[in-house]
Amino acid sequence: MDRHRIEGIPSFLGLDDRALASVAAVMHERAYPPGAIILEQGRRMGGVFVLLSGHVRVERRLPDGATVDLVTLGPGAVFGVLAAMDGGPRAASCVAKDEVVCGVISRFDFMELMQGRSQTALLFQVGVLRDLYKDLRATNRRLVDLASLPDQQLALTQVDDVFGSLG
Amino acid sequence: MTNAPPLKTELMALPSLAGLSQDGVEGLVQGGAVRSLPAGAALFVEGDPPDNLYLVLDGRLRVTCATEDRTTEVVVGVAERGALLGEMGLLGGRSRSASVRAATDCRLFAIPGDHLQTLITDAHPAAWFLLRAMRTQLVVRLRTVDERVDAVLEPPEPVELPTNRRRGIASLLQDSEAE
Repeated sequence: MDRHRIEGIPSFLGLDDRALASVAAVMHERAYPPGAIILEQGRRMGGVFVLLSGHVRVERRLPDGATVDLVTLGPGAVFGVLAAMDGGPRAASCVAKDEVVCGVISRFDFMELMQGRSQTALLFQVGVLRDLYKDLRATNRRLVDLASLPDQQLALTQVDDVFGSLG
Repeated sequence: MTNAPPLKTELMALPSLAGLSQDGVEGLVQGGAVRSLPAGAALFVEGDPPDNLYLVLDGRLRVTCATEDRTTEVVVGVAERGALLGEMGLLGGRSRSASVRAATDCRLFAIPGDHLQTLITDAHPAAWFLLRAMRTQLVVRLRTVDERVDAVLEPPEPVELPTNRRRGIASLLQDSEAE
């Protein structure tokens, strides 16, 4: 893929032209019609996705079967990183809201970049971490907002106890 | 200060920096400093400008976020030997998103943000080890916080409680009408 396609992506802003070109080189374009499931919660397949155009709904299925919409992603968003990093199941499903085009990096190529020690690889890693920290901030915020609901105080206290003893 | 091993040995023995090379540890030690924190003291508070990245050498700290009305502090993490703290604000370049307080007496190794930046742009061996430690810790935190949100997230409940109560009153009324 041409590096110009990913020039404005916030996660890659720290990369110079050479670094951008090496990331773009391992990226493949894929299109999805509205309603298509791009990533499915619980599955372990797939790589890392860079949203080039369109919108993606991120939804999480709860243990009781209910589904909660977490966020809608727009062009420039990067998703699918967590499962690509630890090889674990997808934490949420990603569904195309309209015509969607993504740049996809395979898990293998992604891990090559994440484990690389060159300046390009390190700057790429910083960009990816920045994105994930944003997710963690948002999820922590959700957890704290939930704590404000009076009904949840007890549940949270109990979880804290468990969490504390694990620490 | 009699029994503490040399700082370099201590840093190289941290599980989160496993495999750290001699030149890697040199790079860390050149720009950082050890800091002691007594139990109960705050390392930083939500909203503070980010300054350092911290590596926990000894002790235990609690990471908390306050609710919007500031009535409740929710524990979002616990940090012990080898854990990194403060990396979120540094890489994000914004204010501290959580508060960190020492639960026991602590010793930390503080790496100033601009030193971290230099290590990264120089592709110094220390940078790779720090970034690896960050992503390993981050993956665990993200998975844990997702599970915790699930554990407390039961969408029907806040809505259902009053409905149930109303239904309860309605059925009482019906019962009394029937009598």
